[in-house]
Amino acid sequence: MPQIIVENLTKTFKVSQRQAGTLGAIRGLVKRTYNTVEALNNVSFSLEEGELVGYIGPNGAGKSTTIKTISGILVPDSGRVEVMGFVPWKERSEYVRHIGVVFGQRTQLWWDLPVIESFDLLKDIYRVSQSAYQKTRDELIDRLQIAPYLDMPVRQLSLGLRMRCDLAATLLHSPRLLFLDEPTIGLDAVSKLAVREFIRDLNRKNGVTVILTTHDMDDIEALCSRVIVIGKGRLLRDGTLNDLRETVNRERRLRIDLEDSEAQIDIPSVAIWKREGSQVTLQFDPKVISPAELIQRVAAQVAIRDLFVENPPIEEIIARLYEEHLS
Amino acid sequence: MKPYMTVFGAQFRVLLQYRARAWAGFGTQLFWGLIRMAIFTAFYESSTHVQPLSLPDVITYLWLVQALFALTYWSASPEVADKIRNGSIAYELIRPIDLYWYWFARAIACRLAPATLRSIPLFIAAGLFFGLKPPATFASSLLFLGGVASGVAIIAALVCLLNIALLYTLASEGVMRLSIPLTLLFSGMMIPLPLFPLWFQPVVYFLPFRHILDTPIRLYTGNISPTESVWVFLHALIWCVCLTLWGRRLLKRAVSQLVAQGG
Repeated sequence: MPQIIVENLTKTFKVSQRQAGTLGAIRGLVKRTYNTVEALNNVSFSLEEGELVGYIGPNGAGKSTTIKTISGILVPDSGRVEVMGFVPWKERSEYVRHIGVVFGQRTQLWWDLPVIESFDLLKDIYRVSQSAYQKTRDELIDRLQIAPYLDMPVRQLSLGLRMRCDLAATLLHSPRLLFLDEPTIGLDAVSKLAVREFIRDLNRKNGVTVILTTHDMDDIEALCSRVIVIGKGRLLRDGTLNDLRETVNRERRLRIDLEDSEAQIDIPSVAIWKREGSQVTLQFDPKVISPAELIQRVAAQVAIRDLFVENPPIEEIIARLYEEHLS
Repeated sequence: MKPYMTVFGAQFRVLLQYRARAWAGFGTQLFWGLIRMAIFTAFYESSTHVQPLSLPDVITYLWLVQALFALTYWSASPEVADKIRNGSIAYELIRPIDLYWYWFARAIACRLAPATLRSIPLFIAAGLFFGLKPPATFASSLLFLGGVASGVAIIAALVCLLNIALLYTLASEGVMRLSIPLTLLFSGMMIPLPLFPLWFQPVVYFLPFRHILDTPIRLYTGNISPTESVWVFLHALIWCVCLTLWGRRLLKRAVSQLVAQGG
């Protein structure tokens, strides 16, 4: 049985509209107009235990609303959600013992207290036994390499460190299911890699199910085998990263470094995607012409210094998907 | 119970860090105490009526108000207000604890920590130099502590209500403008409650605000006798239960229609 079942999840928000300016503000006092925003519209998916799923979509697509509904914070208008046998918003206090949530843009640590005191506080809030707590805490401190910073007040930590501490804080009660809402937002390259590696380990070694929302496609590429794409509250795609590539944009690219920057390449059914000096990028569909054949043909026409085949970056695929569905 | 005690302890420790604020508070309270002492002395000396409280009693009353001043509240819990405004409230909702008691425990710590820091030096200074009398009897000093405890419970329940109002309106200024003058006037902070006109006293003694300052102070001075105190405590308890039940109901409703701010 799947660990998470989401069926026809729908949630609308009423947003009061106000005209700009003083006059608009005065008018708003007398008469308010409301706009209904469909944050989620019939979203359905299910997840097996131990999956690591990327949940992506543009700003305002409904990612956070989904996370907040599945974690029991928001009550949906209609639809069914069942996680580990719980209906999140109905049995919240029992349910939340089994999950962990990180909201990347906010911290759960006490701003003015040393990190370790926030940990101790969470131990009591989740009623974790002392022995289990010590074991989990020490392991997390070790894996996230935060030992030197435990006595610092949270307000003095850099964003990257704070995120590592936040991750540790979320896992102190050993949740089986982890929601990460933009965990790498604003982090530098080193911290991003550290966070990513930690998430991957957590999923592979400890078998924790992870749902990850992010705008950083490198996160998705590095971590997730499965992606769920939503836009304007609707589910657009649900499948592996490769499926997504296949259906949206099968094309691959061949980047060639030419000996002679003036040389011309002309192969039917293959387009020149970009040309900068001696660097030429060709776009081709591997079902029409295989990479080996293409390389052969190119080599017959021009002298090649170097070449390699690549997939279009995932950003482009996603951007195309959004354009197709949202325009 | 343990999670709430821990939350209380953590919040208490945070607030004990602010030593400079405590000294500044002490200075301000001392200054205003002296001014109010002068005002009431002038009133009493220019009046020929017999007042319900003698001048030395009023002066003790005033100093106790100053000493307990830090207990009273002026707004919703600032941390909670911030969390509601920026959406971090989401984190409080994924904890396996009761949000109401969590806020309640924090509110108590927020009131007790600064009060502990400020009132002790003020007690000493006012007792030594400015006419604060010691408690009437040993029993009344114990009753005073009981009165402070029930006052803090009522304050915490009121602060929780302000927090909850924030969930509904985001800006609790309106609710605060309403509740703060009520507290100011009907807790005994501005004028000792026994000095209110007789026809108005039933109203003042019916409201919960009296337990914030007036009750503990008059238990201290012996103005409320130990036998009377039973009824006063019962009155405080009933209010406390009502405010708590009301708060819990409002909170439950607010959470079920919550909109977390900021994405």
